[in-house]
Amino acid sequence: MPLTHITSAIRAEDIIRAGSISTRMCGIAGGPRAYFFYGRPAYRTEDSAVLKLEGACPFCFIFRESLIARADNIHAFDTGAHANRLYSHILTQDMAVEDFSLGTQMERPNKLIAKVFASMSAYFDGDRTRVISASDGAEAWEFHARAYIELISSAGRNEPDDRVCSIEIAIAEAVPLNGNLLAVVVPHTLWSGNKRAPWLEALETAGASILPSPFHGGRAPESYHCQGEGVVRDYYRTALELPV
Amino acid sequence: MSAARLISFLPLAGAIGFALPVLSHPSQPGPFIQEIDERTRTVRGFQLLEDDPSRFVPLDTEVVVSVGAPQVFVFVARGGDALCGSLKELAPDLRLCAEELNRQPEIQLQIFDLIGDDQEKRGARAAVREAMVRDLGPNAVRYFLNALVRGDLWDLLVDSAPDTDAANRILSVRGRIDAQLGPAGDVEINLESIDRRDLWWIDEGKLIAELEGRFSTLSLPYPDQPVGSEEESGDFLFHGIQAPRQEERMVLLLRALLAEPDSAWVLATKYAPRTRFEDRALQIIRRHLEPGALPGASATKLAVYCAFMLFRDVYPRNRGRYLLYLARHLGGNKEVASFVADKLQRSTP
Repeated sequence: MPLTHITSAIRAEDIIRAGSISTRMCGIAGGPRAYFFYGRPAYRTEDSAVLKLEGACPFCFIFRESLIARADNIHAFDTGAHANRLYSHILTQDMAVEDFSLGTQMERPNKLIAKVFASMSAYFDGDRTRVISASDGAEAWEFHARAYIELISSAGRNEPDDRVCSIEIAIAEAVPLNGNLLAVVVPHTLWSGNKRAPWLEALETAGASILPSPFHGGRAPESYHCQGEGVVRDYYRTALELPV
Repeated sequence: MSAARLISFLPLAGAIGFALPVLSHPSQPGPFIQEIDERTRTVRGFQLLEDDPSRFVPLDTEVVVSVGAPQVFVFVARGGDALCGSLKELAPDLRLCAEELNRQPEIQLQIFDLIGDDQEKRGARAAVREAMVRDLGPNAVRYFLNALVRGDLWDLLVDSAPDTDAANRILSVRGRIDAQLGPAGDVEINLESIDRRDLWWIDEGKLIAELEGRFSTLSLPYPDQPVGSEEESGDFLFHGIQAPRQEERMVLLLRALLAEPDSAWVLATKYAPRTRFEDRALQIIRRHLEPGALPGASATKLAVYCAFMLFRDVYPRNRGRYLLYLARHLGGNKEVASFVADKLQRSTP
Protein backbone atom coordinates (compact mmCIF):
# COMPACT_ATOMS: atom_id res chain seq x y z
CA MET A 1 0.00 0.00 0.00
CA PRO A 2 1.11 3.61 -0.45
CA LEU A 3 2.37 5.65 2.50
CA THR A 4 0.33 8.56 3.83
CA HIS A 5 1.19 11.74 5.66
CA ILE A 6 -1.57 13.94 7.06
CA THR A 7 -1.01 17.49 8.11
CA SER A 8 -2.81 20.81 8.26
CA ALA A 9 -3.24 23.06 5.25
CA ILE A 10 -0.81 25.56 6.71
CA ARG A 11 1.95 22.98 7.09
CA ALA A 12 1.07 21.36 3.77
CA GLU A 13 1.73 24.61 1.97
CA ASP A 14 5.16 24.82 3.63
CA ILE A 15 5.91 21.22 2.63
CA ILE A 16 4.89 21.81 -0.97
CA ARG A 17 6.85 25.04 -1.25
CA ALA A 18 9.91 23.32 0.27
CA GLY A 19 9.46 20.36 -2.06
CA SER A 20 9.95 17.79 0.67
CA ILE A 21 8.72 16.44 3.98
CA SER A 22 11.45 17.40 6.35
CA THR A 23 12.46 15.51 9.45
CA ARG A 24 11.79 16.82 12.94
CA MET A 25 13.59 15.91 16.12
CA CYS A 26 11.83 12.96 17.72
CA GLY A 27 12.39 12.18 21.38
CA ILE A 28 11.13 8.62 20.99
CA ALA A 29 13.46 7.74 18.12
CA GLY A 30 16.28 9.86 19.54
CA GLY A 31 16.93 11.70 16.31
CA PRO A 32 15.34 13.47 13.37
CA ARG A 33 12.53 11.53 11.69
CA ALA A 34 9.72 12.02 9.17
CA TYR A 35 6.65 9.90 9.91
CA PHE A 36 4.19 8.18 7.61
CA PHE A 37 1.43 5.62 7.93
CA TYR A 38 1.21 2.50 5.86
CA GLY A 39 -1.87 2.87 3.68
CA ARG A 40 -4.20 4.35 6.24
CA PRO A 41 -4.95 8.07 6.16
CA ALA A 42 -4.94 8.13 9.95
CA TYR A 43 -4.44 11.17 12.09
CA ARG A 44 -0.88 12.06 12.83
CA THR A 45 -0.76 14.26 15.88
CA GLU A 46 2.04 15.16 18.19
CA ASP A 47 -0.05 16.68 20.93
CA SER A 48 -3.72 17.51 21.09
CA ALA A 49 -3.53 18.73 17.53
CA VAL A 50 -6.77 17.00 16.58
CA LEU A 51 -8.20 20.44 17.16
CA LYS A 52 -5.88 21.94 14.64
CA LEU A 53 -7.41 19.79 11.98
CA GLU A 54 -10.48 21.90 12.25
CA GLY A 55 -8.43 25.03 12.70
CA ALA A 56 -6.63 24.27 9.49
CA CYS A 57 -8.28 21.68 7.32
CA PRO A 58 -6.45 18.39 6.74
CA PHE A 59 -4.29 17.53 3.76
CA CYS A 60 -3.37 13.95 3.02
CA PHE A 61 -0.22 13.26 1.01
CA ILE A 62 -0.11 9.84 -0.66
CA PHE A 63 3.36 8.49 -1.46
CA ARG A 64 4.61 5.60 -3.53
CA GLU A 65 4.91 2.32 -1.66
CA SER A 66 8.56 2.06 -2.74
CA LEU A 67 9.38 4.78 -0.22
CA ILE A 68 9.20 2.15 2.48
CA ALA A 69 12.63 0.91 1.33
CA ARG A 70 14.05 4.00 3.03
CA ALA A 71 12.41 3.24 6.37
CA ASP A 72 14.58 3.62 9.42
CA ASN A 73 12.01 1.74 11.45
CA ILE A 74 8.51 0.34 11.10
CA HIS A 75 6.20 -0.02 14.09
CA ALA A 76 2.93 -1.86 14.39
CA PHE A 77 1.20 1.26 15.71
CA ASP A 78 1.65 4.98 16.16
CA THR A 79 4.57 5.42 18.54
CA GLY A 80 3.60 8.97 19.44
CA ALA A 81 0.31 7.75 20.87
CA HIS A 82 2.25 5.08 22.77
CA ALA A 83 4.53 7.76 24.24
CA ASN A 84 1.45 9.72 25.29
CA ARG A 85 0.29 6.61 27.19
CA LEU A 86 -2.83 6.22 25.07
CA TYR A 87 -2.26 2.46 25.05
CA SER A 88 -1.61 2.11 28.76
CA HIS A 89 -4.98 0.41 29.33
CA ILE A 90 -3.51 -2.69 27.67
CA LEU A 91 0.27 -2.35 27.41
CA THR A 92 2.22 -2.55 30.66
CA GLN A 93 5.10 -0.26 31.53
CA ASP A 94 7.50 -3.13 30.91
CA MET A 95 6.50 -3.27 27.26
CA ALA A 96 8.82 -0.85 25.51
CA VAL A 97 7.96 0.65 22.16
CA GLU A 98 10.99 -1.10 20.58
CA ASP A 99 9.30 -4.42 21.33
CA PHE A 100 6.67 -3.56 18.73
CA SER A 101 9.12 -2.73 15.97
CA LEU A 102 8.67 -4.64 12.74
CA GLY A 103 12.22 -3.90 11.63
CA THR A 104 12.73 -2.44 8.19
CA GLN A 105 11.85 -5.26 5.84
CA MET A 106 9.36 -4.08 3.24
CA GLU A 107 7.12 -7.12 3.38
CA ARG A 108 6.56 -6.98 7.15
CA PRO A 109 3.54 -4.62 7.08
CA ASN A 110 1.64 -6.85 4.65
CA LYS A 111 2.50 -9.93 6.68
CA LEU A 112 1.14 -8.28 9.80
CA ILE A 113 -2.02 -7.17 7.98
CA ALA A 114 -2.59 -10.64 6.53
CA LYS A 115 -2.18 -12.28 9.92
CA VAL A 116 -4.07 -9.85 12.10
CA PHE A 117 -6.67 -8.14 9.90
CA ALA A 118 -7.02 -10.86 7.25
CA SER A 119 -7.63 -8.32 4.50
CA MET A 120 -6.34 -5.02 3.26
CA SER A 121 -9.82 -3.51 3.41
CA ALA A 122 -10.25 -4.44 7.09
CA TYR A 123 -6.87 -2.83 7.84
CA PHE A 124 -7.73 0.28 5.83
CA ASP A 125 -11.05 0.59 7.68
CA GLY A 126 -9.41 -0.07 11.04
CA ASP A 127 -12.19 -2.61 11.45
CA ARG A 128 -11.62 -4.11 14.88
CA THR A 129 -14.40 -6.63 14.39
CA ARG A 130 -12.25 -8.40 11.77
CA VAL A 131 -9.15 -8.64 13.95
CA ILE A 132 -8.04 -12.18 14.76
CA SER A 133 -8.68 -13.22 18.36
CA ALA A 134 -5.69 -13.02 20.69
CA SER A 135 -5.88 -16.74 21.40
CA ASP A 136 -5.88 -17.62 17.69
CA GLY A 137 -3.28 -15.04 16.75
CA ALA A 138 -0.59 -15.74 19.32
CA GLU A 139 0.47 -18.32 21.86
CA ALA A 140 0.06 -17.54 25.53
CA TRP A 141 3.81 -17.06 25.92
CA GLU A 142 4.02 -14.58 23.04
CA PHE A 143 3.30 -11.70 25.37
CA HIS A 144 3.85 -8.79 22.99
CA ALA A 145 1.94 -10.33 20.11
CA ARG A 146 -0.99 -11.04 22.42
CA ALA A 147 -0.87 -7.56 23.90
CA TYR A 148 -0.83 -6.02 20.43
CA ILE A 149 -3.89 -7.98 19.32
CA GLU A 150 -5.69 -7.17 22.55
CA LEU A 151 -4.77 -3.54 22.07
CA ILE A 152 -6.12 -3.15 18.55
CA SER A 153 -9.24 -5.15 19.40
CA SER A 154 -10.04 -3.05 22.43
CA ALA A 155 -12.36 -0.11 22.46
CA GLY A 156 -9.91 2.74 23.00
CA ARG A 157 -9.75 4.70 26.18
CA ASN A 158 -8.90 8.38 25.71
CA GLU A 159 -8.15 7.67 22.09
CA PRO A 160 -8.73 10.62 19.85
CA ASP A 161 -8.62 8.48 16.72
CA ASP A 162 -7.67 5.17 15.21
CA ARG A 163 -3.89 5.45 15.17
CA VAL A 164 -3.62 2.31 17.23
CA CYS A 165 -4.13 0.13 14.18
CA SER A 166 -2.02 2.20 11.78
CA ILE A 167 1.39 0.83 10.89
CA GLU A 168 3.94 3.61 11.26
CA ILE A 169 6.93 4.16 9.00
CA ALA A 170 9.79 6.35 10.24
CA ILE A 171 12.34 7.75 7.81
CA ALA A 172 15.49 9.42 9.06
CA GLU A 173 15.95 11.83 6.16
CA ALA A 174 13.89 14.40 4.32
CA VAL A 175 11.55 12.89 1.72
CA PRO A 176 11.36 14.80 -1.58
CA LEU A 177 7.91 15.08 -3.11
CA ASN A 178 9.28 14.86 -6.61
CA GLY A 179 9.38 11.24 -7.68
CA ASN A 180 7.68 9.98 -4.51
CA LEU A 181 4.32 11.75 -4.33
CA LEU A 182 1.37 10.08 -6.03
CA ALA A 183 -1.51 12.29 -4.94
CA VAL A 184 -2.72 14.75 -2.37
CA VAL A 185 -6.24 15.11 -0.96
CA VAL A 186 -7.10 18.78 -0.51
CA PRO A 187 -10.13 20.88 0.53
CA HIS A 188 -12.22 21.66 -2.55
CA THR A 189 -11.98 25.36 -1.84
CA LEU A 190 -8.33 25.21 -2.88
CA TRP A 191 -8.83 23.16 -6.03
CA SER A 192 -12.03 23.95 -7.80
CA GLY A 193 -12.47 25.29 -11.30
CA ASN A 194 -10.38 28.35 -11.99
CA LYS A 195 -9.70 28.98 -8.30
CA ARG A 196 -6.65 26.86 -7.69
CA ALA A 197 -3.84 27.35 -5.24
CA PRO A 198 -0.73 28.05 -7.35
CA TRP A 199 1.45 25.86 -5.15
CA LEU A 200 -0.88 22.93 -5.88
CA GLU A 201 -0.65 23.59 -9.61
CA ALA A 202 3.11 23.04 -9.34
CA LEU A 203 2.46 19.63 -7.80
CA GLU A 204 0.06 18.68 -10.58
CA THR A 205 2.58 19.77 -13.19
CA ALA A 206 5.09 17.44 -11.51
CA GLY A 207 2.68 14.55 -12.03
CA ALA A 208 0.79 14.25 -8.73
CA SER A 209 -2.99 13.86 -8.73
CA ILE A 210 -4.88 16.56 -6.84
CA LEU A 211 -8.02 15.09 -5.28
CA PRO A 212 -10.59 17.60 -4.00
CA SER A 213 -12.56 16.68 -0.89
CA PRO A 214 -15.65 18.65 0.18
CA PHE A 215 -14.81 21.22 2.82
CA HIS A 216 -17.85 22.70 4.50
CA GLY A 217 -17.82 25.25 7.25
CA GLY A 218 -18.41 24.39 10.87
CA ARG A 219 -18.13 20.62 10.76
CA ALA A 220 -16.46 18.50 13.39
CA PRO A 221 -12.84 17.46 12.65
CA GLU A 222 -13.95 13.83 12.32
CA SER A 223 -16.24 14.81 9.47
CA TYR A 224 -13.37 16.25 7.42
CA HIS A 225 -11.23 13.25 8.25
CA CYS A 226 -13.89 10.75 7.15
CA GLN A 227 -14.48 12.67 3.92
CA GLY A 228 -10.76 12.62 3.17
CA GLU A 229 -10.55 8.94 4.03
CA GLY A 230 -13.33 8.20 1.55
CA VAL A 231 -11.50 10.06 -1.21
CA VAL A 232 -8.29 8.15 -0.42
CA ARG A 233 -10.22 4.87 -0.57
CA ASP A 234 -11.68 5.81 -3.97
CA TYR A 235 -8.20 6.66 -5.22
CA TYR A 236 -6.77 3.35 -4.02
CA ARG A 237 -9.58 1.44 -5.70
CA THR A 238 -9.72 3.23 -9.00
CA ALA A 239 -6.22 4.52 -9.66
CA LEU A 240 -4.15 1.88 -7.86
CA GLU A 241 -6.61 -1.04 -7.98
CA LEU A 242 -6.09 -1.92 -4.35
CA PRO A 243 -8.75 -4.11 -2.72
CA VAL A 244 -9.80 -1.68 -0.01
CA MET B 1 -17.38 27.22 31.54
CA SER B 2 -20.83 27.54 30.04
CA ALA B 3 -20.28 30.54 27.76
CA ALA B 4 -17.48 32.40 26.01
CA ARG B 5 -17.14 35.55 23.96
CA LEU B 6 -16.19 35.63 20.30
CA ILE B 7 -12.94 37.63 20.12
CA SER B 8 -11.29 36.72 16.84
CA PHE B 9 -11.17 34.25 13.98
CA LEU B 10 -8.65 32.07 12.27
CA PRO B 11 -8.79 32.36 8.47
CA LEU B 12 -9.08 28.99 6.80
CA ALA B 13 -8.66 28.05 3.17
CA GLY B 14 -8.77 31.44 1.49
CA ALA B 15 -9.44 35.13 1.93
CA ILE B 16 -13.20 34.77 1.38
CA GLY B 17 -15.26 32.08 3.07
CA PHE B 18 -15.90 30.51 6.44
CA ALA B 19 -13.32 31.01 9.16
CA LEU B 20 -12.80 29.40 12.55
CA PRO B 21 -14.37 31.42 15.40
CA VAL B 22 -11.96 31.92 18.32
CA LEU B 23 -13.40 32.48 21.80
CA SER B 24 -12.29 33.66 25.20
CA HIS B 25 -13.60 33.98 28.76
CA PRO B 26 -12.63 36.54 31.42
CA SER B 27 -11.55 33.84 33.87
CA GLN B 28 -10.04 31.52 31.25
CA PRO B 29 -8.62 33.44 28.33
CA GLY B 30 -8.13 30.34 26.20
CA PRO B 31 -8.25 30.72 23.21
CA PHE B 32 -11.10 28.26 22.71
CA ILE B 33 -13.12 26.88 19.84
CA GLN B 34 -16.63 25.49 19.93
CA GLU B 35 -17.13 21.77 20.37
CA ILE B 36 -20.14 20.93 18.24
CA ASP B 37 -22.85 18.32 18.60
CA GLU B 38 -22.96 17.13 15.01
CA ARG B 39 -26.52 15.97 15.28
CA THR B 40 -28.10 19.16 16.60
CA ARG B 41 -25.51 21.69 15.41
CA THR B 42 -25.48 23.14 18.90
CA VAL B 43 -22.54 23.94 21.16
CA ARG B 44 -21.59 21.01 23.39
CA GLY B 45 -18.63 22.67 25.10
CA PHE B 46 -15.35 24.42 24.43
CA GLN B 47 -11.90 23.14 23.59
CA LEU B 48 -8.56 24.81 23.87
CA LEU B 49 -7.16 25.87 20.51
CA GLU B 50 -3.44 25.32 20.22
CA ASP B 51 -2.39 27.53 17.40
CA ASP B 52 -0.20 30.49 16.72
CA PRO B 53 -2.12 33.52 18.12
CA SER B 54 -0.39 35.82 15.65
CA ARG B 55 -2.58 34.30 12.96
CA PHE B 56 -5.83 35.25 14.74
CA VAL B 57 -7.73 38.19 13.27
CA PRO B 58 -9.35 40.26 16.08
CA LEU B 59 -13.08 40.96 15.99
CA ASP B 60 -15.00 43.82 17.51
CA THR B 61 -18.23 42.08 18.45
CA GLU B 62 -20.48 41.34 21.39
CA VAL B 63 -21.37 37.81 20.27
CA VAL B 64 -21.47 35.37 23.19
CA VAL B 65 -21.46 31.62 22.56
CA SER B 66 -23.30 29.45 25.10
CA VAL B 67 -23.42 25.71 25.69
CA GLY B 68 -26.67 24.33 24.25
CA ALA B 69 -27.10 27.30 21.90
CA PRO B 70 -26.74 27.12 18.11
CA GLN B 71 -23.20 27.01 16.72
CA VAL B 72 -21.73 30.41 15.86
CA PHE B 73 -20.08 30.98 12.48
CA VAL B 74 -17.71 33.56 11.07
CA PHE B 75 -17.83 34.27 7.35
CA VAL B 76 -15.30 36.58 5.72
CA ALA B 77 -17.08 38.39 2.90
CA ARG B 78 -15.64 40.15 -0.12
CA GLY B 79 -13.80 43.25 1.11
CA GLY B 80 -12.76 41.52 4.31
CA ASP B 81 -15.88 42.18 6.42
CA ALA B 82 -16.44 39.38 8.94
CA LEU B 83 -20.06 38.31 9.48
CA CYS B 84 -20.64 36.65 12.86
CA GLY B 85 -23.60 34.80 14.33
CA SER B 86 -25.74 31.70 14.16
CA LEU B 87 -26.84 30.37 10.80
CA LYS B 88 -30.33 31.72 11.37
CA GLU B 89 -28.92 35.18 12.02
CA LEU B 90 -26.48 35.05 9.12
CA ALA B 91 -28.70 33.44 6.48
CA PRO B 92 -29.95 36.66 4.77
CA ASP B 93 -26.42 38.12 4.56
CA LEU B 94 -24.94 34.80 3.43
CA ARG B 95 -27.47 34.62 0.59
CA LEU B 96 -26.40 38.09 -0.55
CA CYS B 97 -22.76 37.02 -0.37
CA ALA B 98 -23.55 33.92 -2.41
CA GLU B 99 -25.11 36.09 -5.12
CA GLU B 100 -21.97 38.19 -5.28
CA LEU B 101 -19.76 35.12 -5.46
CA ASN B 102 -21.11 33.74 -8.72
CA ARG B 103 -17.56 33.32 -9.98
CA GLN B 104 -16.60 31.32 -6.91
CA PRO B 105 -18.96 28.36 -6.92
CA GLU B 106 -16.80 26.53 -4.38
CA ILE B 107 -17.68 29.17 -1.75
CA GLN B 108 -21.33 29.23 -2.83
CA LEU B 109 -21.39 25.50 -2.23
CA GLN B 110 -20.08 26.01 1.32
CA ILE B 111 -22.83 28.56 1.97
CA PHE B 112 -25.70 26.56 0.53
CA ASP B 113 -24.53 23.39 2.19
CA LEU B 114 -25.38 25.13 5.46
CA ILE B 115 -28.40 27.31 4.66
CA GLY B 116 -29.66 26.29 1.22
CA ASP B 117 -32.84 24.49 0.25
CA ASP B 118 -32.68 21.46 -2.04
CA GLN B 119 -32.76 23.57 -5.19
CA GLU B 120 -30.02 25.92 -4.00
CA LYS B 121 -27.80 23.02 -2.98
CA ARG B 122 -28.33 21.29 -6.31
CA GLY B 123 -27.54 24.50 -8.19
CA ALA B 124 -24.36 25.11 -6.20
CA ARG B 125 -23.20 21.54 -6.71
CA ALA B 126 -23.91 21.74 -10.43
CA ALA B 127 -21.87 24.94 -10.67
CA VAL B 128 -18.89 23.38 -8.87
CA ARG B 129 -19.17 20.27 -11.00
CA GLU B 130 -19.22 22.34 -14.18
CA ALA B 131 -16.17 24.34 -13.11
CA MET B 132 -14.31 21.17 -12.15
CA VAL B 133 -15.14 19.40 -15.41
CA ARG B 134 -13.96 22.42 -17.35
CA ASP B 135 -10.76 23.09 -15.46
CA LEU B 136 -9.75 19.92 -13.64
CA GLY B 137 -10.95 17.03 -15.78
CA PRO B 138 -13.32 14.16 -15.07
CA ASN B 139 -11.26 12.19 -12.55
CA ALA B 140 -11.18 14.95 -9.96
CA VAL B 141 -14.93 15.41 -10.44
CA ARG B 142 -15.68 11.75 -9.81
CA TYR B 143 -13.73 11.74 -6.56
CA PHE B 144 -15.48 14.91 -5.50
CA LEU B 145 -19.00 13.78 -6.43
CA ASN B 146 -18.53 10.48 -4.63
CA ALA B 147 -17.44 12.39 -1.54
CA LEU B 148 -20.56 14.56 -1.76
CA VAL B 149 -22.85 11.54 -2.10
CA ARG B 150 -21.10 9.90 0.83
CA GLY B 151 -21.52 13.01 2.99
CA ASP B 152 -25.21 13.24 2.11
CA LEU B 153 -25.72 9.60 2.99
CA TRP B 154 -24.11 10.15 6.41
CA ASP B 155 -26.31 13.22 6.98
CA LEU B 156 -29.47 11.35 5.93
CA LEU B 157 -28.68 8.51 8.31
CA VAL B 158 -27.85 10.79 11.25
CA ASP B 159 -30.91 12.97 10.63
CA SER B 160 -33.23 9.98 10.54
CA ALA B 161 -31.75 8.23 13.58
CA PRO B 162 -34.45 7.65 16.18
CA ASP B 163 -32.31 8.77 19.13
CA THR B 164 -28.92 10.18 20.07
CA ASP B 165 -27.39 6.77 20.72
CA ALA B 166 -28.33 5.56 17.25
CA ALA B 167 -26.96 8.76 15.69
CA ASN B 168 -23.70 8.35 17.60
CA ARG B 169 -23.39 4.74 16.46
CA ILE B 170 -23.77 5.92 12.85
CA LEU B 171 -21.19 8.66 13.35
CA SER B 172 -18.71 6.22 14.88
CA VAL B 173 -18.66 4.05 11.73
CA ARG B 174 -19.36 6.62 9.04
CA GLY B 175 -15.86 6.22 7.58
CA ARG B 176 -16.96 2.74 6.54
CA ILE B 177 -20.39 3.73 5.24
CA ASP B 178 -19.81 4.18 1.56
CA ALA B 179 -21.72 5.53 -1.41
CA GLN B 180 -20.73 5.70 -5.05
CA LEU B 181 -22.30 7.59 -7.92
CA GLY B 182 -22.44 5.68 -11.19
CA PRO B 183 -22.21 7.23 -14.65
CA ALA B 184 -25.96 6.95 -15.25
CA GLY B 185 -26.91 8.62 -11.97
CA ASP B 186 -27.29 5.32 -10.14
CA VAL B 187 -26.15 5.27 -6.52
CA GLU B 188 -24.74 2.26 -4.73
CA ILE B 189 -24.46 2.31 -0.98
CA ASN B 190 -22.66 0.07 1.48
CA LEU B 191 -24.24 -0.06 4.94
CA GLU B 192 -22.45 -3.24 6.02
CA SER B 193 -20.71 -1.58 8.96
CA ILE B 194 -23.88 -0.32 10.56
CA ASP B 195 -24.75 -1.83 13.91
CA ARG B 196 -27.45 -4.50 13.69
CA ARG B 197 -29.46 -2.59 16.27
CA ASP B 198 -29.95 0.16 13.72
CA LEU B 199 -31.03 -1.86 10.73
CA TRP B 200 -34.72 -1.71 11.64
CA TRP B 201 -35.04 2.02 11.06
CA ILE B 202 -32.94 2.21 7.91
CA ASP B 203 -34.72 1.89 4.57
CA GLU B 204 -31.95 1.23 2.06
CA GLY B 205 -34.22 1.65 -0.97
CA LYS B 206 -35.48 4.98 0.28
CA LEU B 207 -31.96 6.23 0.90
CA ILE B 208 -30.87 5.26 -2.61
CA ALA B 209 -33.94 6.91 -4.13
CA GLU B 210 -33.29 10.10 -2.18
CA LEU B 211 -29.62 10.21 -3.20
CA GLU B 212 -30.38 9.40 -6.84
CA GLY B 213 -32.92 12.22 -6.80
CA ARG B 214 -30.27 14.62 -5.58
CA PHE B 215 -27.43 13.49 -7.82
CA SER B 216 -28.94 12.06 -11.01
CA THR B 217 -28.29 15.24 -12.97
CA LEU B 218 -24.77 15.59 -11.60
CA SER B 219 -23.36 12.20 -12.56
CA LEU B 220 -20.62 12.03 -15.11
CA PRO B 221 -20.72 9.61 -18.06
CA TYR B 222 -17.45 7.83 -18.68
CA PRO B 223 -15.45 9.37 -21.51
CA ASP B 224 -16.29 8.28 -25.06
CA GLN B 225 -18.88 5.86 -23.76
CA PRO B 226 -22.34 7.35 -23.97
CA VAL B 227 -24.77 6.23 -21.33
CA GLY B 228 -27.37 3.95 -22.81
CA SER B 229 -25.78 0.78 -24.14
CA GLU B 230 -27.28 -2.22 -25.79
CA GLU B 231 -30.92 -1.27 -26.09
CA GLU B 232 -30.12 2.12 -27.57
CA SER B 233 -27.28 0.97 -29.78
CA GLY B 234 -29.37 -1.84 -31.22
CA ASP B 235 -26.24 -3.87 -31.66
CA PHE B 236 -27.18 -7.56 -31.86
CA LEU B 237 -23.95 -8.46 -30.11
CA PHE B 238 -25.25 -7.16 -26.82
CA HIS B 239 -28.34 -9.33 -26.78
CA GLY B 240 -26.29 -12.15 -25.31
CA ILE B 241 -25.49 -10.19 -22.19
CA GLN B 242 -28.81 -8.62 -21.38
CA ALA B 243 -29.80 -9.00 -17.77
CA PRO B 244 -31.38 -6.72 -15.22
CA ARG B 245 -28.47 -6.95 -12.76
CA GLN B 246 -25.03 -5.50 -13.46
CA GLU B 247 -23.32 -8.46 -11.76
CA GLU B 248 -25.04 -10.91 -14.10
CA ARG B 249 -24.22 -8.86 -17.20
CA MET B 250 -20.51 -8.98 -16.40
CA VAL B 251 -20.60 -12.73 -15.73
CA LEU B 252 -22.35 -13.21 -19.08
CA LEU B 253 -19.65 -11.17 -20.74
CA LEU B 254 -16.96 -13.39 -19.21
CA ARG B 255 -18.85 -16.48 -20.35
CA ALA B 256 -18.93 -15.13 -23.91
CA LEU B 257 -15.20 -14.41 -23.73
CA LEU B 258 -14.50 -17.96 -22.62
CA ALA B 259 -16.67 -19.46 -25.36
CA GLU B 260 -15.78 -17.19 -28.29
CA PRO B 261 -12.84 -14.98 -27.37
CA ASP B 262 -12.45 -13.21 -30.72
CA SER B 263 -16.05 -12.25 -31.40
CA ALA B 264 -16.79 -11.54 -27.75
CA TRP B 265 -13.81 -9.20 -27.62
CA VAL B 266 -15.64 -6.87 -30.02
CA LEU B 267 -18.48 -6.88 -27.55
CA ALA B 268 -16.16 -6.20 -24.63
CA THR B 269 -14.61 -3.21 -26.37
CA LYS B 270 -17.93 -1.71 -27.46
CA TYR B 271 -19.95 -2.32 -24.36
CA ALA B 272 -20.87 0.99 -22.68
CA PRO B 273 -20.80 0.66 -18.90
CA ARG B 274 -23.95 1.81 -17.16
CA THR B 275 -22.65 1.63 -13.64
CA ARG B 276 -19.46 2.14 -11.75
CA PHE B 277 -19.09 -1.60 -11.18
CA GLU B 278 -19.44 -2.29 -14.91
CA ASP B 279 -16.83 0.32 -15.68
CA ARG B 280 -14.37 -1.26 -13.24
CA ALA B 281 -15.18 -4.74 -14.51
CA LEU B 282 -14.59 -3.69 -18.12
CA GLN B 283 -11.28 -2.08 -17.22
CA ILE B 284 -10.12 -5.36 -15.68
CA ILE B 285 -11.44 -7.47 -18.54
CA ARG B 286 -10.00 -5.24 -21.26
CA ARG B 287 -6.63 -5.14 -19.59
CA HIS B 288 -6.31 -8.88 -19.19
CA LEU B 289 -8.21 -10.49 -22.02
CA GLU B 290 -7.09 -9.03 -25.32
CA PRO B 291 -7.39 -11.95 -27.76
CA GLY B 292 -4.21 -13.27 -29.30
CA ALA B 293 -2.07 -11.90 -26.50
CA LEU B 294 -1.91 -15.29 -24.85
CA PRO B 295 -2.41 -18.93 -25.85
CA GLY B 296 -5.91 -20.33 -25.37
CA ALA B 297 -5.28 -22.08 -22.08
CA SER B 298 -3.78 -18.99 -20.51
CA ALA B 299 -6.65 -16.85 -21.80
CA THR B 300 -9.09 -19.20 -20.07
CA LYS B 301 -7.15 -18.91 -16.84
CA LEU B 302 -7.17 -15.15 -17.16
CA ALA B 303 -10.93 -15.10 -17.70
CA VAL B 304 -11.34 -17.11 -14.52
CA TYR B 305 -8.92 -14.78 -12.76
CA CYS B 306 -11.06 -11.83 -13.89
CA ALA B 307 -14.12 -13.52 -12.40
CA PHE B 308 -12.26 -13.70 -9.09
CA MET B 309 -11.05 -10.11 -9.38
CA LEU B 310 -14.57 -8.82 -9.97
CA PHE B 311 -15.72 -10.37 -6.70
CA ARG B 312 -13.82 -7.76 -4.71
CA ASP B 313 -15.46 -4.93 -6.66
CA VAL B 314 -18.99 -6.17 -6.13
CA TYR B 315 -20.70 -4.35 -3.30
CA PRO B 316 -20.63 -6.59 -0.24
CA ARG B 317 -24.39 -6.95 -0.11
CA ASN B 318 -24.47 -8.08 -3.74
CA ARG B 319 -21.71 -10.65 -3.44
CA GLY B 320 -24.10 -13.52 -2.81
CA ARG B 321 -25.93 -12.60 -5.99
CA TYR B 322 -22.64 -12.44 -7.90
CA LEU B 323 -21.71 -15.91 -6.67
CA LEU B 324 -25.10 -17.15 -7.83
CA TYR B 325 -24.48 -15.80 -11.33
CA LEU B 326 -20.98 -17.25 -11.39
CA ALA B 327 -22.39 -20.65 -10.44
CA ARG B 328 -25.22 -20.37 -12.95
CA HIS B 329 -23.21 -19.22 -15.96
CA LEU B 330 -19.63 -20.31 -15.29
CA GLY B 331 -20.15 -23.16 -12.86
CA GLY B 332 -18.95 -25.65 -15.47
CA ASN B 333 -15.44 -24.34 -15.00
CA LYS B 334 -13.80 -26.27 -12.16
CA GLU B 335 -11.86 -23.33 -10.80
CA VAL B 336 -14.92 -21.08 -10.76
CA ALA B 337 -16.97 -23.81 -9.07
CA SER B 338 -14.26 -24.23 -6.45
CA PHE B 339 -14.05 -20.45 -5.94
CA VAL B 340 -17.82 -20.21 -5.41
CA ALA B 341 -17.84 -23.14 -3.00
CA ASP B 342 -14.97 -21.64 -1.02
CA LYS B 343 -16.67 -18.27 -0.74
CA LEU B 344 -19.96 -19.85 0.33
CA GLN B 345 -18.21 -21.78 3.07
CA ARG B 346 -16.64 -18.62 4.40
CA SER B 347 -19.84 -16.59 4.44
CA THR B 348 -21.66 -16.15 7.69
CA PRO B 349 -25.41 -16.00 8.11
